[in-house]
Amino acid sequence: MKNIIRLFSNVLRDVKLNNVPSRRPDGSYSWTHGQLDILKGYSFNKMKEFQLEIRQLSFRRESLLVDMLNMQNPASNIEQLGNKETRHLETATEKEENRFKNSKLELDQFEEDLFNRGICLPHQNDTDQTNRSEAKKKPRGLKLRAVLILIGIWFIVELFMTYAQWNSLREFKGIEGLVVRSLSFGVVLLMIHLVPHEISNFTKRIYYIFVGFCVLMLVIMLFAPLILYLIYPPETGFTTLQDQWTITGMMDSVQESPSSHYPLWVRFYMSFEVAPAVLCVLFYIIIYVSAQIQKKLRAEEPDAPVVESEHAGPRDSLADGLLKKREQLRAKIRECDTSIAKLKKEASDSLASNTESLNGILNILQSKKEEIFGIEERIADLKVEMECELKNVEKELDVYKTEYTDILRSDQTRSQYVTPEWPERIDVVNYYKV
Amino acid sequence: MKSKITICLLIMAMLSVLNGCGSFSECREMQQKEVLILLDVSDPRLFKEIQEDLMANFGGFMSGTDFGSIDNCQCLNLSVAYLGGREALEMASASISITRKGLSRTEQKELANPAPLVKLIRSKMEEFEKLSQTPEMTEESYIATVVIKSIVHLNHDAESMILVFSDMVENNQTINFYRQIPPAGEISSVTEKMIDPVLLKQFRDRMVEGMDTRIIIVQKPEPADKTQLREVKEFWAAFLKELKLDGQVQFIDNLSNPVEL
Repeated sequence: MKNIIRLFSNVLRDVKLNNVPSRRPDGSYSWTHGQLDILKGYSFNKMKEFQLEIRQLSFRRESLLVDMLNMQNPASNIEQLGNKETRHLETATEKEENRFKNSKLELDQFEEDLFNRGICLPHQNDTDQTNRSEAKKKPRGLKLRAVLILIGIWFIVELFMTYAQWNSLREFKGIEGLVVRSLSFGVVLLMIHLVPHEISNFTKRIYYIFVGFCVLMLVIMLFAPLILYLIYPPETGFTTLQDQWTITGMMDSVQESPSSHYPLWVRFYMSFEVAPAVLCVLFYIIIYVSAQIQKKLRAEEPDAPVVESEHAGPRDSLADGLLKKREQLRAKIRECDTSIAKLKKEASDSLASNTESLNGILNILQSKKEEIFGIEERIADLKVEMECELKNVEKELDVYKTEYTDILRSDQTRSQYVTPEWPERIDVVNYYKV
Repeated sequence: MKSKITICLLIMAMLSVLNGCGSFSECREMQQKEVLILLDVSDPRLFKEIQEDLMANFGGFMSGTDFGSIDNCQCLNLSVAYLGGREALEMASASISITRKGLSRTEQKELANPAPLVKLIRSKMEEFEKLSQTPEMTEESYIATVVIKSIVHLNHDAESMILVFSDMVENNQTINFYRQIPPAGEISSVTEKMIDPVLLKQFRDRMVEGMDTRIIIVQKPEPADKTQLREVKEFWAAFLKELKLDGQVQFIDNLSNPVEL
């Protein structure tokens, strides 16, 4: 209410004093007292505050952006240095690995050469870490894994086969018989599977004979019962229950089992169907043990004659020389191995530290980015509030305009000579300088 | 090396398990079934008729009862005794059983074959045929005592059946149906006279314990027609009722008659 009265009195005053709102030749707006009163009202300070805050926030945002840009260089530098170092280490590692392979080859060649020449150097405690690490690298669990895979496959196949043949199997086999039958198949499959892993112990010929034998036993186990049961059907000649209980004069003895008429070998096989599996196991044991014995005998052979020079001293003998050479080769291999491990560790350490630095930079950038987002949000909020204030001011200016026009219209003389010009938004904005 | 040891240990464990498998397939408890056949040898003509009935109808009768076949963990024990001039119960027995589970169907059929039991019956029939011609057996007849003894003697835990082949004409110093068949009113005193008190007490104790016994009486007509079948049957019905056995007894003419078991 107070504001309306004040506004109205301002309008009256402006009209009486001939204070007409107009536009200057340069395009800028000339405010009347009443309009200035409105502009300088409570909104003035607020707008100024908003303006100041926006300026401060913008300034902060700019400085954050500059900081972020400035961080790009260190990050790039770290990345480049890191890549360079990694490449260098990779090259060095590759070189060492090649050296290692060559040394290993050289050692193998040397030992083969000694073997071919019939020279048997005394065994030394093998402290060669490389060999041990090589042995460790060898998949020790391979055989066990292969066995477990085989057991899994056998189980699934046996389950299916037993299910498919359940009725006919149960006719002639009890549960124990079925289990033993399945297991005997599994054992033969295991023997066939194990042998390739033992191939170093067997000669090729023995290997092929053994595998062929096992396959033959498998075929026998699969088909022999079917064939025998066809030729010698195990019918017991049972009749109906009534016939079984009928008392006649002709039944002098309990019905003989028809199987008593079968040949001996048929009766043996029918009662001991796992015989082929047992034979496979026995065969495997025999050839494995013989291979082990052969290996042991070969190792225990009297030492090949060591070449002695006529004036042999401890240091000058051929054996010592060869031993020394072998040790050198082994030492070289060990050195390569250590060096490879060291380089790999260096590479991983360098990578880790570079990653850590980059992560740190990334975190800083992230926090600055979040701050910028916060500033922009705040600026947007301030602009919205400024907009509201501008609208309030414009509303009041419109009221002023309405009153001024009304009063001017009532004064006919003045209205002929006076043509007020009214402000636009841009004029208000320019006044507040926002 | 380790894998070889592991494999060997696995195989040994498997073998041990297989070795112990037998205990899994053994039956923990055997269900018992018993059949007792009492053949009256007090008259050769009667015995011949009994023989003919057995040879013609025994197969069909047994195949129609639960006692005709056995399953896993069941045992059927068959005994044969005579009814004649002695009070003694002289039984010969044979049995068939399936003591394990998980056998093949062929093995099951083989073990469930009642041939040994049929062989026993046949051999006893041959023996009793001769016995039925001896004066010792034909002069007297102790039916009640032998039947009660057989009830007392049966396995308490078994599901049992007694097959009595007889004309049911009691003929001894205590009771003689040829002279007089005691009336129903005197049945309690007659029972005490016919059965030894000790035996009667054993029988009553047995009844208290409970029993799962069926009694099938294949009553043949007296060969000389000296007694009335109906009167004899009435006496035994009253007698068995007195002993509280009436719910478990059935009278038939021959084994081809249907029975409820």
